Order: sequence, then structure tokens, then C-alpha cells
Amino acid sequence: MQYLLAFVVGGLFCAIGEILILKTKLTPARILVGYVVSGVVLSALGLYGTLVDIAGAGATVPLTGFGHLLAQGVREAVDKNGLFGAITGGLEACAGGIGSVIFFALFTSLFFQSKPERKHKTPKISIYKR
Amino acid sequence: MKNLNFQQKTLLFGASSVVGIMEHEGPLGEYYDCFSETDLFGAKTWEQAETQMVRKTLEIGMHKCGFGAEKLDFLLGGDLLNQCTASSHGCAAFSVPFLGLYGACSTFAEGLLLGAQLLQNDALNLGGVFASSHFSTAERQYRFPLEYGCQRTPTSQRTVTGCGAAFLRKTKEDGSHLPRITKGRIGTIVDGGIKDANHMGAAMAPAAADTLVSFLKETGESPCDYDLILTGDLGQVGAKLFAELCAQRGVLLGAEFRDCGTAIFSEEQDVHAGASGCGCSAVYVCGYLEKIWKERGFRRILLLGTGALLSPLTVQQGLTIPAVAHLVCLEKE
Repeated sequence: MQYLLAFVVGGLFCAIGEILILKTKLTPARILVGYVVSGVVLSALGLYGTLVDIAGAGATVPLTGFGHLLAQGVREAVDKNGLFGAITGGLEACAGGIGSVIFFALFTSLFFQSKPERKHKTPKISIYKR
Repeated sequence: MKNLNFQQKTLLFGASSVVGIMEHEGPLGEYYDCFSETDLFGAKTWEQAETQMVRKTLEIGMHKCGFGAEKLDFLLGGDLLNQCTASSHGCAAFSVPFLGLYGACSTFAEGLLLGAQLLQNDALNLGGVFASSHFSTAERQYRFPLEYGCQRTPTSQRTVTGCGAAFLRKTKEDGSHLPRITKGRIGTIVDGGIKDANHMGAAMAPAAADTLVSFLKETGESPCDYDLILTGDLGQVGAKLFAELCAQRGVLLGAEFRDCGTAIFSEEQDVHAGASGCGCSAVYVCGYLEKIWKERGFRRILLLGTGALLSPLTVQQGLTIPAVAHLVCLEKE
């Protein structure tokens, strides 16, 4: 049952993103930032925590989950260190995520070459045709 | 009176085109001279790949026309990159007199106009014009690097990976079987107020309509006097808007109107609103048109290169996108 909820909730977040791409003039960057900020706001209101309890990874994997993580981190750090925690808390909570992203991005770029997107047809034989 | 009328006959006597894999798989694939299966052309980076593509196009073109680089009095070329390095680096090896151009996707038409005008000077006899674009370099420059993997909107166009080169010379002979550049018009820059970089067709349509309507009004002709009126890369959305704007000003486009942007890729290749880039009109003219001209019995063609004049920074700063459209008239006896 939890798998189903994770799938549905995660999928809904993706569907909202797709609708924003298709129907609005928002650039992908704005949509992503919007997701992070929404996550922070929903978390501050206490709503996102409930969603995570219900949907698990379906709520933590989408970028709104990252906003939730930021907000939680700030909350904990402020409890521990006072107002200074407002500055350190977010990054502390996300350190694991950001660190691993940098590592994986570097690793991938060292071993793989990016290619332009295209719908593949049968591959041709030679690189240069005359 | 702003139309250019070239007194000295300027022949477009040879052309070459080199493209990437998706263009080769498109409906006009068989008409290009050469393609690269990986879009890399044997280079290590996308920018160096575009340089190699330009070099290859010029090499093939000069070989087809049967002369060496030392015979060229000038080369005019441009692309979409910062400081147009694909063009300058691409022709550096040939050590020819070179003038770099920037007109975004109108660069090829701009080059043909300027090339024909340069040849009106007695000192110059033989010149080349080329324009290039590459999907991967354009994405990195204008939007995001390929690695970002972002989704594309329905109105976005795909930059053509391609370079087209045309060679021009003067002639005193009459009745040549080759196309001549006879007339042209330098486009007026028009700002239609569009800010969306994913909606370039709509940004360019007003400039294209302005140039075409002004040209026809001055010559006293109408679209049916031409066999083909070719716009660069308005795409599906822009082409429709262009036809409407022309109709509003009394110019009715019929079957002679075609857009290079909607012809380079097929529906199945899922490029949303069509092709774009300097290479779009360049490979269409230098690859496809050059070969089918005789078959179809075309005699008079208008090429309307359309360019959206934006940079990544102007988009980020929320500025509008002005556009320009240059017109070249190609005729054959």
C-alpha cells in the first residue's frame, strides 16, 4: 500500500511539473525553484511532514522534499544554536544530499559523454559519408 | 527606395552542406553532402565539433567547385556562438580574407546579400558565404548544457546541427543555367514585444512580414510572381502568424510559401515547433534547394532569413526579443 501511495504522490508532483511546462511560460529553472520554495512553505506550515508520513519517498524524492529537508534543518538548528541556526541549518541538513550529488556528477562526467536528445532510428555504419 | 538591385550578375555557382545525425535522418537527409553520426565530427567538445563541421563544409564545397582556398577573394560567415568562434576557427586554416557576421538565424541571407554587394566592387570576383549552428552548442549557450536534461516546451524549436556554404562569382555571360542573386533587401529591425525565448517564431514573424511586404510593395509584385517564398525558421507557430500579418497588409501567401524550419525534421522526430538556427536556412538552400532547383523548374525564389536577436542575458534580464529578416532574390533563366 505504501508503494502505491509513494507512486501516486510522487507521480502527482511530476504531473504538476509537466502541466507547468506545457501550459505556462515558466522556465524549468523557475519551476524547480518554485518546488523547493513550496516545500519549505508547506513544511513550515506542518503539512509536508504529514505528507511524508503518508507517502514516504513519494514526498521526499521530488524537489519539494528538498525544501522540506531545508526547513526541518533550519528548525532543528535554531532550536540548538539560536538564530544563527537560520543560516547554518539548511545546508547542514542537506549536506549529505549535496555532497553525493557533486560526487556522482563528477563521476558521471569522467566516464560518460552526453549526447543530444533524439528519437533513435537504425544506426548508420560510417561516421563520415561522402 | 530601399530594395537592393545588383547590377553586376552574381552567380551562386556551387554549394555544400554538412549536417548532424538527426538532420541526416530527416526528410531531406539524402540531399546533404556529409553527416556525423555522433554530431562530434571527430572532436572532443561540442564547440570544437561545430568548428570541424564548418571546416568540412568549406572543404567539400571548394572541392565540388574545383578551386582552392587561395582563389577566394572573401569569406563571409557566422554562427550562434559567443564571438562566432565556430566560423572564425572553422575557416582559419584556409587563410582567406574573412568577415564575421552575426544575424542569428538570418545570418545566411545576410551573407548572401552582403556577398552579392561586395562582388559589385571591381576588385572582387569570387567569394563564399556560410552559416553554421549546432544543437549542443546552442543549448549550452542559450539554455542549458545537455547534461542538465531539461524538458522542452511545445513551442520550442530544435537548433539544426548543420553548416551550409554557397560560393558566388561574377559573370558577364547571359542565360546561365545557374541561379543569380538579382535583388535583395536589408531587413528593418522590429520588436514585437515577445519576451519568451521559447517562442521565437512569434518574435520573428513581424520582422519577416515587414521585410516581405515592403519589398513587394516597392517592386509592385505579389507572392504569386515567385515560385517559392522561403522563410528561414519561423516554425509552425511563427509561419502561421507571418501569413496572417502579411494578409493584414494586403499580401496573400499561397502554395509558394514554405518555411525551412518545418521542412528539416519530420513529425516523428518530435521537435515540437520545428527547426531553427543559422544552419537551418543554410543547409536547406545549400543542400536541398541547390539540387532540386532544376527538377522543379523554379525560376524565381525569395529567401527570407529570419533572426531573433536575443542573448541569454537579455532573456534573464526580462528584455523583449527584437528580430530582423533579410531578403534575397534568386533567379534563374
